[in-house]
Amino acid sequence: MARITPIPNANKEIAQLANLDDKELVDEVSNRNQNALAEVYRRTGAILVATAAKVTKSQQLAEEVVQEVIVKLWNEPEKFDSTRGSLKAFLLVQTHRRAIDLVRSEVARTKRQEKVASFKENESTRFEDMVVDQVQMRSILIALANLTEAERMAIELAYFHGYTYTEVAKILREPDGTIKSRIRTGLRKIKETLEREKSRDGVQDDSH
Amino acid sequence: MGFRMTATDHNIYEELVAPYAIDALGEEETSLMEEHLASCDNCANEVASFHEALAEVAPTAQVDKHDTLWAKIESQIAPKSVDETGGSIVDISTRRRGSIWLRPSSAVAAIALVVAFISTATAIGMNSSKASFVKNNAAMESQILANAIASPGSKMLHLTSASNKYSLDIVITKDGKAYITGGDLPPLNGQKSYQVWGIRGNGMVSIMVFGSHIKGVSFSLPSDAGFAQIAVTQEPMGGSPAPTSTPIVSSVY
Repeated sequence: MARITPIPNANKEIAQLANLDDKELVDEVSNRNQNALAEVYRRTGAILVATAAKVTKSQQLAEEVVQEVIVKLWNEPEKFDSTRGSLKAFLLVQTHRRAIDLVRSEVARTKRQEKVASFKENESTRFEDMVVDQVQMRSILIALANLTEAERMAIELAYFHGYTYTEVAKILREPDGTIKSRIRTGLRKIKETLEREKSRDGVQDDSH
Repeated sequence: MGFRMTATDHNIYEELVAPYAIDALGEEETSLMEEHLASCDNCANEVASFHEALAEVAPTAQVDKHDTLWAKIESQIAPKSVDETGGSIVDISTRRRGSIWLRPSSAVAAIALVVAFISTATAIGMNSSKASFVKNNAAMESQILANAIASPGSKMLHLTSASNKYSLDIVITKDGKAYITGGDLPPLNGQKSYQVWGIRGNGMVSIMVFGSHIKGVSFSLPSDAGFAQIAVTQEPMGGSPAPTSTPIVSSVY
């Protein structure tokens, strides 16, 4: 884990900050406590950088995106509403959107359209063969969620490659409605598995 | 676009909640969806729940490699900090007190002053004014490190222990100036110092000695020195002519 150098004489020590919940931590950020922002980075930096890198395919762009997102939290901490979700999810959404914006910029758009068209023309190439090394979300949760390969692929093409669902439909040569449905079914499976696991963890915690 | 939304049928929006949650809608659908979400708690809640689920399955990276990223973030937020003596937001460019900051003519001199000042301030106990001064010095220190990292031709060296428990990150500029940007070393025991060694041929060459404040420490590391590896050991305070212990961290140079 990265060592984040504390600011001397900060309002709260790093050890104390590590015990704060999301709301308390962002309140500290609102108080201009740089150590609080360092704690935010410590908690979320790894997944933000990894996600941005998967989307942009560039470590440098990924770091620029994450830098922008973390600095934005410093400048506008009031944008985070703890009643609407976790800080990790909030920052991940910001990071993903910014990364997607870059991928869908004008220059990138032309290349993407050419890529989508090439899938249509080359009937002998299966998309699955081309993304065989791009397994992205093989977490335990995904395994438990029991997504079909078609659902996983629809979600990953959109989430990590920046394609809209209509572009995914063209790539996979399926109707738009089928892709929308696969994304929804896949996400609901992940969500339900997550809720089930949390509920089970809660029961185990209570029994201690 | 494969779908044009003109109706306000809730079912239509409902179908788009999942693609919206993963940013898979086109621009027009995205803005229509956002209008809908502002007035539909059910859909907004479902989007939020999908975002939580995605955060749980998101990939992860080795944070160790991104300590330089934190240095960049820190340099961006550092210019404006809370002035503990007055409570107002001030720019450090207007906070350089006294003439000490006018004298250093190079980044290296500035870092040496920062390190020396922080050590002294810690030893004598900081009052609020000094604490504020140190905080601002730390901001300048971060700025210098960020500049070194961003300078053309600079490279990072990540020294680690065999078990990866300890590490040290060094940025080396094209002209051979090296700065420690961060790391995690075991505490110094008693009268000890850390010592950096360059390993070449059949010997180890002492490069420099430093204490427990590691960030911002600077030294010279010319690219033509011919070192195959860089290592750090703990030595008697002030350093040793030859290593007396095995390296804590090391890296191929």
